[in-house]
Amino acid sequence: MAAMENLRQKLAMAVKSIQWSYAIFWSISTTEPGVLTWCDGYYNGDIKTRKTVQAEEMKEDDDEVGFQRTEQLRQLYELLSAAGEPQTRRPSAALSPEDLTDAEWYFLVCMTFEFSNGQGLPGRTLANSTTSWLCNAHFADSKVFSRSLLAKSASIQTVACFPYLEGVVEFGITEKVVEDQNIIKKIKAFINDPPPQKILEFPLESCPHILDDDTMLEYDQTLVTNTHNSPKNGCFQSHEQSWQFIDDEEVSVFENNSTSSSDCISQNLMSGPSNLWTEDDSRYQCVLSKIFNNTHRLISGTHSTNSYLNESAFASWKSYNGMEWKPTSSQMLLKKALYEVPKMHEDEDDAKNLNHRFSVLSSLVPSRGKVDKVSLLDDAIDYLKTLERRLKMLESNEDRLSKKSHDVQERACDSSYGTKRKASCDVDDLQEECSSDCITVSAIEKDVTIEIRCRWREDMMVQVFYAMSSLNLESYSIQSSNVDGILTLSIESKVFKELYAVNSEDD
Amino acid sequence: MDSSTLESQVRSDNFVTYESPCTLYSMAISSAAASRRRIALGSFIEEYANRVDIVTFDEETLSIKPIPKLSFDHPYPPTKLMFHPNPKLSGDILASSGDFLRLYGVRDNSIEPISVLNNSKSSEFCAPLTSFDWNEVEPRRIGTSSIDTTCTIWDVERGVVETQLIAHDKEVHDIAWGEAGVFASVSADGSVRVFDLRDKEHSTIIYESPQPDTPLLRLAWNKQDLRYMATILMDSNKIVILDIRSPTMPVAELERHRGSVNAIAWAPVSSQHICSAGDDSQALIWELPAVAGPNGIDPMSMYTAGAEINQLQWSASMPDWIAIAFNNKMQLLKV
Repeated sequence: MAAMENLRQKLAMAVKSIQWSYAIFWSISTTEPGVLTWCDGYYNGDIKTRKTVQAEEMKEDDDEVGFQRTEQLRQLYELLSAAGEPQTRRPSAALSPEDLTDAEWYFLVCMTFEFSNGQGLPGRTLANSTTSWLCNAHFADSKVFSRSLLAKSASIQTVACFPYLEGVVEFGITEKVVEDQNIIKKIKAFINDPPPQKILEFPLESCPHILDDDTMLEYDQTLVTNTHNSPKNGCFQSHEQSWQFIDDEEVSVFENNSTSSSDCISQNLMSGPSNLWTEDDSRYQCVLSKIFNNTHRLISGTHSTNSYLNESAFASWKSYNGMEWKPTSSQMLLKKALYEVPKMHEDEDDAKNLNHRFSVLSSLVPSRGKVDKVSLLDDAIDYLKTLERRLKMLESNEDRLSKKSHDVQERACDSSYGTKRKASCDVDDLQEECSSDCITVSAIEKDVTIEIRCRWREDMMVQVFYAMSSLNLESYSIQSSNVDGILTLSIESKVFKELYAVNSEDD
Repeated sequence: MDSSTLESQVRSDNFVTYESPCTLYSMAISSAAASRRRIALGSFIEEYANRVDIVTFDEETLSIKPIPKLSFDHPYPPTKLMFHPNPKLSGDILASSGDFLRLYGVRDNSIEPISVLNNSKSSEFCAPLTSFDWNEVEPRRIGTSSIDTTCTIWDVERGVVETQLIAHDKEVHDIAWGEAGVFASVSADGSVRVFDLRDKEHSTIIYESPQPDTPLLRLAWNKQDLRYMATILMDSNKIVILDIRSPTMPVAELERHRGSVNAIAWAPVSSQHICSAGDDSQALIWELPAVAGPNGIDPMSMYTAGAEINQLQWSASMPDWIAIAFNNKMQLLKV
């Protein structure tokens, strides 16, 4: 383990000196000759500082923080990969998946990668024994750099690899850095000194192999695409579901292909990484599914504050959700709102006129606040009844008055036939009706002055005017006052022309 | 609850359902600061007598309760409802469009008509209104769109018409404010036009539907990034995303609905998310990428309702919830 520490320290020093994001040492697997697997690494990129406990403890010592973070990432990886085997779970990991930045997630997922000889960037580096420098790693073809989509999600832009001892050293950074041999030299200087013998001693067997003797191959783009979906801190619902998706639909495909011999794996992958899947791959899928199932458990178990993120009513979108959609009439309500409702306002003329009349009616009838037609009609009926009652009342009053006025008119008519009487005299008859009251009527020619003093009562004025009009008197000046219920009325009026004409004729 | 035995609520952790006695179409979420958010629901009955109900949503208990005191009759189905974008403490205001633009004062215990705004001087009738939008920056302004090809800009505080523009060649279907004096409208003539009140003589056509005269039905202007707006076409599953800087060419067409689209709403707090709902019963949330891929854009997430979704509201006053309406139900979905 001393050698391990030593290697990690060298990687740490090297990556810090050039201020890159991470360093990984891929070593040749002891169980699978020629296959490069994760041996060790150092993470030097951005950290989320949500776990303040650890951060505070270690603030004084930047180095320690870095080492501890890398160690925690490794622990988390081991914890996650132990998924599905509850007895082996070690719940003591300092980090949870949602604590990771995108770059850390990239670093962690790299731990699951393996490269056969000539495969992927590390594999080719080993096969060709040359230094590889890849700019725009996040846009690279997946055949050149199989982790390109993963890199994209973590904004890893530049990756460099060179052979070292029994393996390959890889460095990466989130910025674009053009190829610079000085950087490679600098890294090599750090790694080769102190003496390399020590490193030679380090037991490769101690590199953890979570899948034991399973062959892990770089996985196909489909999978990477799904990874790409993922670790935006906290979006673990969509995350979990996209992996579930793989479980459901893709694993079956792998099983169908499980007869493929593992010998031709690398060949298949060389010719095109997505051609054939093998049993090993499907096992790999299972591990990943377990990881993410477990991840989900971890989140719901330990971070209840985060739980609302999982409560969205929306699920990850799938192109086919198994539900057959039956076309109905398209945009029915929307079209009705745009085309038919306006027509309801002003349909054909009848309806328009009807509506028009309703609105005229509503302006005539005192409304009780309701706007529908039924209430409007109800209001109108009530209003009409009220008016009818009032009319009857007025008529009954008028009858009594008009009786007298009838006499007056008769006599007036008679007068036209020679009976000389002044219309004004007849008004005296009114006194009979309200004997307790005082009415004075004086007439000079066509001018008639009426003075009334009586107890006030409703419709009094109206009655007086009805009576006057029935006597063909037209008022031109009215004075009235109502003191303690006594109405004093002074009216000056003229006799209507026609009548006057008749009278004057007589005169 | 006694007066609303017909109405029931289904509770779940991430969505709440409210059932109305009648089909729902128009819907508005209040901006007024309150512990219980008011939501106005307009009925859609194809006759004169319609109603608007006000319900409240309690985010703590995830319950929706009707307030019968605040229900009122509405002549014909309201084509749109909207609350005052920035109400005073003294009282909220609800606006509706239909035969007229109507304003209602909403108090705690009562709702009262404030005004019925008619833009026609010669007639006691106003050309029917298809929609309206309340200007957030200048809340005294409301713009209405009408089947008579015009848009009317009201000063609702004074109750007078500020201006009336012949906006299109055919019926105007929707209107949306961008800034205090800039609005856009869509029409049965298939165009999206942008108007600036400082220059009423001119408008800019920023999109025309590919098949000439395919009507455009709805319009949503991205309030978080005014470069973008979205529109939907008649009988189409597409949501067309427009960038006002590049007229005529849409920047994206979202085509993953399996039926026609009925409603769209931009996210109130993010500039690159939009929600759409359609006849396929789905509400989809889309994240617009910087660059669209060759195979089009997939939605980020989806929700499947029980029937064609007719209405969608995503309000800044309640950004964690999207309101949808289908059949006689209103659902609030946790985002």
